[in-house]
Amino acid sequence: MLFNSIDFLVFFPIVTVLYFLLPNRATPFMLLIASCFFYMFFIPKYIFILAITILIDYFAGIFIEESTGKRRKVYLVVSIISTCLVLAIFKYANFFNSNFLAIADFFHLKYPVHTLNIILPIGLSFHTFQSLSYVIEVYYGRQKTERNFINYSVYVMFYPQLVAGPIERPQNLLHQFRERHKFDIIRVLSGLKLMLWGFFKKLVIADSVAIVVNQVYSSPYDYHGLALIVATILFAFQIYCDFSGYSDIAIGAARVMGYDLMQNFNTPYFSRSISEFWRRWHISLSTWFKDYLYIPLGGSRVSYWRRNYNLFITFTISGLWHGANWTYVIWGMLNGFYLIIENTFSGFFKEPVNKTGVKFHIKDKFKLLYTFTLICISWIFFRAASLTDAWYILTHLFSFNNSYGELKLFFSDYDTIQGPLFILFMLLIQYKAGDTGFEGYIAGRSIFIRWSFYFLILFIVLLFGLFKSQHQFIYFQF
Amino acid sequence: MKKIFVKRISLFLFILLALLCIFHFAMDQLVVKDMSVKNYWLLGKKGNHYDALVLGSSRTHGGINVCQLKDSLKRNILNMSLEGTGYPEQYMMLSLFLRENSSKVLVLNVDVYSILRGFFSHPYHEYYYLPLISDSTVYANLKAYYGYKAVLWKYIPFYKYVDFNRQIGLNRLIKMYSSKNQEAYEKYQGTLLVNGSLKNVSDQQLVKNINTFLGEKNSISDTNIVYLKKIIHLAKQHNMQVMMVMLPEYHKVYAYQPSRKKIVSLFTSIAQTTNSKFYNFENHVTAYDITKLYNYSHLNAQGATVFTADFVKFFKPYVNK
Repeated sequence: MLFNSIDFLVFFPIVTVLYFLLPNRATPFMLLIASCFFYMFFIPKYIFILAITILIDYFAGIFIEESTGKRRKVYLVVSIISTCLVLAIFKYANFFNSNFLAIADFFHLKYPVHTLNIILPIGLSFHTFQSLSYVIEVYYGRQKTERNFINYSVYVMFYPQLVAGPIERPQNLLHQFRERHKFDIIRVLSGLKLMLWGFFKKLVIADSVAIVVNQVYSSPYDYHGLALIVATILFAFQIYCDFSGYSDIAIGAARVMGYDLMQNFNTPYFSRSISEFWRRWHISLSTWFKDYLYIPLGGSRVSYWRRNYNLFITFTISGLWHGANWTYVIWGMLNGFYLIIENTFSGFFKEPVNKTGVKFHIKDKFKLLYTFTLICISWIFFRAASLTDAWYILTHLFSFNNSYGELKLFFSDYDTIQGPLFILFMLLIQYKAGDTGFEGYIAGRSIFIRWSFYFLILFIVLLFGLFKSQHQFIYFQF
Repeated sequence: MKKIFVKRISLFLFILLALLCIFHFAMDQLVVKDMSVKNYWLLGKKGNHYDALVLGSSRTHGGINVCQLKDSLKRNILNMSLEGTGYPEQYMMLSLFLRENSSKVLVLNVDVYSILRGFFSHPYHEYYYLPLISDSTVYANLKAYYGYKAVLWKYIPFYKYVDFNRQIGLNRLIKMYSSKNQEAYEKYQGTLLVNGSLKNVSDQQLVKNINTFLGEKNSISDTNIVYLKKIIHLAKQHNMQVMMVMLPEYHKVYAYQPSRKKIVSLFTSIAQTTNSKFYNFENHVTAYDITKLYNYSHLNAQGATVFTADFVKFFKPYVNK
């Protein structure tokens, strides 16, 4: 079920009302049923895959806690392998197949394995990582095993964050399903405001700039220079607004019921370095990789070369997590490479003491600009359909043959102008709000300003949101 | 504390409802003033009497040159044809139009596409009529097809403008007021002549195109037949003579159109039972000349001129009665 659908508009209030009306012991069960219903709206039979991974990790957690010595590790490894195997089959089998086929063709060998006719279960990458983090935390003794199967299932399947995160940690989320959350009008309103902001980012900005981005990236060879630059910048905002919009809706929906999900985005395009960007972008995933891959590899407490190796591997795998295509791998590698360079010249990139968004020094502005530029260059690989397309775009960014004419064509229609205008509006709000976030910024104003702001956002969503765009959330494909 | 919040929320919702109602009312008044939408241009006409109305889809929208007819016969003729419409929508438009206007003759486009089941993805461009949904005719027609959605559009303030914010929302109004070309239809009395010429293609490409064009949408729709008869019946109720006219298409496509012969005999039968006349121009000279068509099923500007010149002979007795 999509957040931007009539179905969700009916589903959400019903589930929320039921949540507050039902007795405490019934709410996890209700949430589980609701989450199953939510998930089965996509492809119903894939609920069985989710059920299998839940069962594996639920029992793995119990066996790990009840075992000692090497047995604990065995159960952990079995759990990780089986969970990752599900991910590997559904997400990467065809990718590896096609690559092996290409190698076999190159050496004129026969490769008998055919392409598997399977669709990636929605949200597989997200809930796989979430359940993996549970098993790993139990292994390290940082999380007690959840013996209540319903609670554990809801932890994995909790519908607001089931299909696109935030990827939660058991220490943060699991205990919340045991607690009673009473109806709190302030919290409910806060959740609804956050959802509204998420809908604004997704429906008004992301889906409208997608029109231009899709047009250019679906046939990049028809475009040059300015058109490619603008489309890439717009994609940077499309993916940010799409994904952070989803996260806001998820966090807001959970907050309405009293659940506290982790922050997933923190105005990443105001970052003044790549490392800061990765502390602000998809925070739940980057911390997951840091805690479960980078640190076990040695992290930064190793030699200079080993640290760079760890960074490179972590980001390469992160790229692969995003999609079964070499473009994502290159994207990951590029970000890893950026961080290596930054670590090497760390003196220049040291952040100023004053971190608020309001006061920027000139050096900060330069850093902001170069960080954004580097990130946009990496987004070319993320968005392009192939490495060839990405290379064409990269090598034609400064070829200005008729590019102004192409650009004029894009923005001759009002539908395409609104995206950039609202991006500027969003950035202005975020700049003024700084680290307090838009909610905190608005909350400090008079009631007239607050109400005017929320009425304005609501009417912008109603008047300009693309409700029928059929643009799925970008991160659903991961 | 709780009471204050309840009061504030109630006030917020009240203001929201009031704003939605205000916007709803304002949009209802403003959207229909967009004369770049032919539907609104037609519905804006009141108290007129025409010697003839031409009604149909894109085939007659660009295939019959009404200005040419007017010049040669010195009659008041209007081309009411609407691009991409089937009989249900044409019936609704005619109903609304004849409430405020009158005519002696109806030239009604009949073709294979309007009778087939899935050719038009929806029987209405419903969004154009939503500002008028409080009208009983519009509401009855839309409710018959859209069911509960029509009820939502009618009774929930502003919902229809959210549901179709791209087609009839604020974007539309902004485009309307910034656009220079507002009165195009008035100059050509509703006709839209199209330039461009069909290129010579192989039979294989033709088949591929037809299959893409028609695909699996090749079963006759009883609903469309019903609405065709309703149009004729409506015209008769308003004392109008009806000419059912099948315009020429590129002759090679006829062999690939499923059920064509069956549909042609259906039109003949309907004409007989409704005391109308059916004119089949499928073998007109323009059907054999690719320079007179801009695609397989539509006459271009030149083709419309040639066809209209011949059409006058059949049309003249009707308007001279």
